[in-house]
Amino acid sequence: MKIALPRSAAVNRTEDIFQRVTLGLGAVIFAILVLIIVYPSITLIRTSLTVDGRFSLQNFIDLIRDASTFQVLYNSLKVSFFGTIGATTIGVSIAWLLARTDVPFKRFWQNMLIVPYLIPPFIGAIAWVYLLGPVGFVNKAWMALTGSTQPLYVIYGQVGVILVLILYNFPIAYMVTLGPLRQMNPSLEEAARVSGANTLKTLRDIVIPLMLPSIGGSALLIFMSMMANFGIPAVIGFPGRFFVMTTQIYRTVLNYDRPNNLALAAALSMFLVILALAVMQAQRWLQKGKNYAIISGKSNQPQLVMLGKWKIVAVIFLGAIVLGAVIGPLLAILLTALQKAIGLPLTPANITLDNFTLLLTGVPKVRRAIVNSILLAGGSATVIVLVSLIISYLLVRIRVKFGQVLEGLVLLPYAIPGTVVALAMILAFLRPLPIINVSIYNTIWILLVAYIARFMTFGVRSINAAFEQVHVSLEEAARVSGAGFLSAFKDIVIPLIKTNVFAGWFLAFIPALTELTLSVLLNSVGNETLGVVVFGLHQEGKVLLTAALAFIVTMIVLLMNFLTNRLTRGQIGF
Amino acid sequence: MAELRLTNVEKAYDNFMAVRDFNLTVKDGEFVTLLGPSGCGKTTTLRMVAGFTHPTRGTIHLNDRVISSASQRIFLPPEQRDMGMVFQTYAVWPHMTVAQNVAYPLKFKRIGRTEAKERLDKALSLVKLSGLEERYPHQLSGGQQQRVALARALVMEPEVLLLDEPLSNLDAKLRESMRFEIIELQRRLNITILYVTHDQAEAMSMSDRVVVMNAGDIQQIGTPKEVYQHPVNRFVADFIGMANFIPCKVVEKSGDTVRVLLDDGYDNHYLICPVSADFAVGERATVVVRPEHVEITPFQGQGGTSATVLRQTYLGDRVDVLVKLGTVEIRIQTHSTYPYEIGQDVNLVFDQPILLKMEPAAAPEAPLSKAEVNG
Repeated sequence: MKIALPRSAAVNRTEDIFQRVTLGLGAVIFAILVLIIVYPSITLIRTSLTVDGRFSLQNFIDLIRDASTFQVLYNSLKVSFFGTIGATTIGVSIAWLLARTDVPFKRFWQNMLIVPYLIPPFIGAIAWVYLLGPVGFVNKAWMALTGSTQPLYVIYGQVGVILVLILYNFPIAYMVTLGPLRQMNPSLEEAARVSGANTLKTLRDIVIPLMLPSIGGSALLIFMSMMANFGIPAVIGFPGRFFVMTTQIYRTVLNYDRPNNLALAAALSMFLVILALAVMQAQRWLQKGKNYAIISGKSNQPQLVMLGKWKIVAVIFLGAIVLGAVIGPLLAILLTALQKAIGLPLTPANITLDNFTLLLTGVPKVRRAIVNSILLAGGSATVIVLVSLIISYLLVRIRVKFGQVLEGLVLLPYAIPGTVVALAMILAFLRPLPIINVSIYNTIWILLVAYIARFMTFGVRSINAAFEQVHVSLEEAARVSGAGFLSAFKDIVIPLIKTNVFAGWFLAFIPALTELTLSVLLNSVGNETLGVVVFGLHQEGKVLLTAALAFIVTMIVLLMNFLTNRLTRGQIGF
Repeated sequence: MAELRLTNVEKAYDNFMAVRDFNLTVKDGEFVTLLGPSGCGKTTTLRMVAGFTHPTRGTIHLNDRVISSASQRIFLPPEQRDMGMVFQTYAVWPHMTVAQNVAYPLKFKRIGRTEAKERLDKALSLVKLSGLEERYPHQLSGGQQQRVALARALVMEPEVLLLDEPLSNLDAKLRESMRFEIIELQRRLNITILYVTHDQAEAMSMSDRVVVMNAGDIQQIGTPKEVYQHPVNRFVADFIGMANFIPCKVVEKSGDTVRVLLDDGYDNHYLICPVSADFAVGERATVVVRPEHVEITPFQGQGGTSATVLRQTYLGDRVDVLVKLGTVEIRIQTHSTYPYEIGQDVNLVFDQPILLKMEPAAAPEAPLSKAEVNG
């Protein structure tokens, strides 16, 4: 120990300097977060309470007097309520089938059932228009087979919105409950069996009650995800003149003719904000109540429920879900993209790759959007990772006093609906920034700012987990071995957190690449993104081009996910 | 009246036999323990009796009722076997109160509310949990959770009670007191018990009979005294208690004893062993001597066998001495506190030697070290 003494003063100084630098950077980052999160939030609230530059409740009074406000609120609650019931039931059933029964082809189902979570919801909705739109494949097949002049069912409207919401949200319930179902001590079920309960009664009395915290948690997540969804009600709801909160806010923002439209939209947003905060709180409360300490002893392989003659029913159920959420939609997009013209019969002569060529050579907007989206996603992911490294270090290692506030702040832009975040950004950056007198509104920079704010939580969560895994003692062991503070950080900490840093980057990059909800309100001519162009082409009725681009985007997303999964050795991605 | 009978029961998995040709009758009111190292097939056997695992061969009878038969493809589900079971992890349902947990099996019996209440109260008082009815499991200690599991298994007054390492999650003191409580309960209720453990002290102190298992096979069935005093093979001798194994050769037979010459390099150490099996003169065999059955005294020159002290360890209640006798090392446990010194010559007298047949080279080894067996 004597030898170490003369050095330790110097070492402490390095550490001291490093900590001060980190804290200094922390202050800078806190300032940035204030600018891109706190300031827009305050502006949103202030705008909702302002009429002609003065404080007023008039916006809210106008909204309450307007019957359509309650109609869209009711619509939102209705589709989310039924959608949540449907998606949770399906997701939990699937998780139970895969975790606790002898249903065949488990690997296949596991791989397939994660795909709907990866496909951007608005693309799924477009695909379903190709299936069940007035001239969708299913309806055309129906008319051809039966000779009917009426389509079987046209998806436009609230039932269609609920259906597609369910198909693209059930994986949340599936993923949240799969782990707990797998880890549940099998003795708990066996004890019920020897007590005299059969399989169904064991499920009812033991398994479901024990799973309630996870099921409730996933239901809350799904409910908020549905309330916040913009793409599905926009694609499926607009043609049937069926509007929900997010699409109503969108229409209000774009309704330039209406006086005070932004303030009204801000007031409308408040409903969603309050709901989102309530759900966040409920989630926290649910987590706290989750104090079932289940002692698990030796890891008995869980006794699988023998489905017997129900096996075929289970396979049909899973097959229907995979068909409806993955194979059907992807096939519909691909077949549409390969057509020479809409409505032609599907014969080899009518199949062409022209749509793809035209898309990439003939439509300048598309090439621009590809470049923009890659730049935006890459740029925001990089900034997020750098900022997250410092935030996580402050949170996990230094354990700063305002850590809770910092975490809440980072989570906020993801917890509240994207449409509201976009509106807040518009309101905050509509006018030039003070002091430097530069306006980012109508530039690509507002998109970058919005993406960074929105997806920051992915970076922080990923890197937090990394710092928590790397116990301080590993660093300390390097220190007693003679490494200085910076060497220990470089040789021990960085190599150990590398994977998570990488994962955090991808977790932000992938959703940013196909982002629609924020971009549709924040883009401007020349600054379109991939999501915006797909959505725009669809709205313009350019079916073949939409399908071609939607197909490319979906493939890129699936490929990126696969790559992430491989590069993180299965830790992240699917 | 409950008799449990397993006939030629086997469980084969794709690549190994978990249990091979298992035959056992547990008599009414008997306490039988399946004892063996982990992976020996004892838990698999218990789970076949409970109905969680289907045997690939053989029949299980409860009295005259077939509850499992591989050839007739009868596998009564667990809920129809009327057995109580206590799990290693207690498996107390965390979302139910003590009363709800214990009363749960009564839901499936056609009994009135008053009787249900009486049975609940009786079960709770049996395990000394009266007054804690409304507590939730997370408000209970490990020992109390264990009692809830026991009460739940007893409440339906089962014909057979199955216990799967029920004490292994308790601390040492509690484990010992629970042992006596379970024995006490069994005597009082005169219930038939099949008990699984890897802890020989538990098996020896609680059971009427012990079934020693290894690698899927029954090694020996007998009372605790029988398996300790008359182990049938090296595995049982080694697994139950501690043992020194000394190679030897039979030199003389007379009635039910034989004289053997120890193969320790001296060629003049003889021992008289009682035998039940048939040994031929000239046959090679193994003498088993328990460390506590070796008398050790400072070298006097007369009688006994002389050896040299290699190591001695003070254990408080006894002293553990390792000595070298020619080419073999012998472990001794003595209550004498005589301070032996390393290198000192000592006299040994072997008491209660057990003679075992020579086993093939690949004789099964007990996977537990002696120290663990001892503890």
